Amino acid sequence: MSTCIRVRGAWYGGWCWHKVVARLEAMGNALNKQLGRDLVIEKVETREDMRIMLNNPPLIRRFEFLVRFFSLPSASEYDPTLFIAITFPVIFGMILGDIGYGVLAMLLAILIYRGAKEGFYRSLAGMMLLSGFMTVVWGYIFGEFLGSDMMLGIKLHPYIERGGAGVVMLMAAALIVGMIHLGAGLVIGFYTNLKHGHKEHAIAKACWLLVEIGFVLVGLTLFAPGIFGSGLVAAGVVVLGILGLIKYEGARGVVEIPGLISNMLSYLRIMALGLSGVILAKLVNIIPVGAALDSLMHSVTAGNPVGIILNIIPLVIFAVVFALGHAVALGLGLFESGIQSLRLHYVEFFSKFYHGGGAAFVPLRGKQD
Amino acid sequence: MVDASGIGTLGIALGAAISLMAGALATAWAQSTIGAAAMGWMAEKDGKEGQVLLYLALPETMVILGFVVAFLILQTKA
Repeated sequence: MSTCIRVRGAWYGGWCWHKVVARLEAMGNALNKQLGRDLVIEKVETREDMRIMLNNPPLIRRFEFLVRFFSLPSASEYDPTLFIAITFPVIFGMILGDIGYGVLAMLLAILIYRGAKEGFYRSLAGMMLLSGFMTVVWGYIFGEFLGSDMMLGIKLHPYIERGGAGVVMLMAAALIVGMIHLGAGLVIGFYTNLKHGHKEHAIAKACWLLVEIGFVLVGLTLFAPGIFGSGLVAAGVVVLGILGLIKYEGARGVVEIPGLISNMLSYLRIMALGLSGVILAKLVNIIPVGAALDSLMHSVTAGNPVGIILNIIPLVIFAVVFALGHAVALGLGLFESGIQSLRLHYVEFFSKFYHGGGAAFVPLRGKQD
Repeated sequence: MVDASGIGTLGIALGAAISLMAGALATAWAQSTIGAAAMGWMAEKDGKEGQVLLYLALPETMVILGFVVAFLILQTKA
């Protein structure tokens, strides 16, 4: 919405949030009466050259930084902040997947939130808090606490064992998450196109969805015939999708099918990075802090002063290296999980429904939060 | 005397190593070029540090997929 304010033979034009237009008009009328001058306020509603302002509830608002970093939505797109707020922590947690690191990440987030007033660090803290929480959830599924399966005396039971036999299950889980993510992106693209009247593009998106589901069915038929074994149905769905693509997007659509396969395989990085994180944590866990503590306790109970000194030195060294090692593993994990999860969103997820390119709405005055 | 199973294990090990090595070299090459260009971009424009980080992380795909292939190779029984 655009509001023009004409003052003393001059006029000012600008953009204004539609929810405050009434207040602006009321202010203008009051000013009119006060000054006794000719104040004309003209309301113009236009969709051309619109400015974009994101409006989200407080917790979701933290993720607006990620959307701004890529590009603001153009006038004909949905705000993807809500979707990123849901899926970014899930994929982040799946890559980092450790109860200990998750709790440390949440503590770090709280520290950053306390320590900084600036907008970016508050956003970072909010994102890290949600991501840390999902890391704890996935850590529970993977049964990991700082790399080992013993959490302060409690033995964790992994549903997907990342360090050993469950790696194939992890690959399957990563691919499933990828398919759901891409499918969701295509559905959002379908609705966006439908809402703005681009029927052909909407049907093309639906065809892409068919192709993706078809590939999933083909994969199941080849590798897990127990779940879905009908090769004919799978091939039929794929062919139907491809035919639809040829009709609604032409040859250009068909040529991009390997792109879809590459996008689906790209989610394997969840498994690869997760595995390397687990291996790093297990390496740090080799340091025998527990054994050194035990022998120190033995020397204390035996009352052997030389033994105590001889046992304190290695204990201190081991403890310091252990802490440093896990700090490095945590730092690497946070960084890599964040960047790769972000990359999965920007390249794979957004390419299915989001193009961005909106211009920012910069208010003259307003509440900053 | 050549031990047949030994050759199989050697093949698997070499295959996994070459896969990972090729992925790592490819990523290193790509990121070095991107890094050099990104430094030039940062010197000319202000406040691009975050975007530079994202672009530098994009070629990680190659080494990750190399790792996946190496891992799959290691899963086979000699």
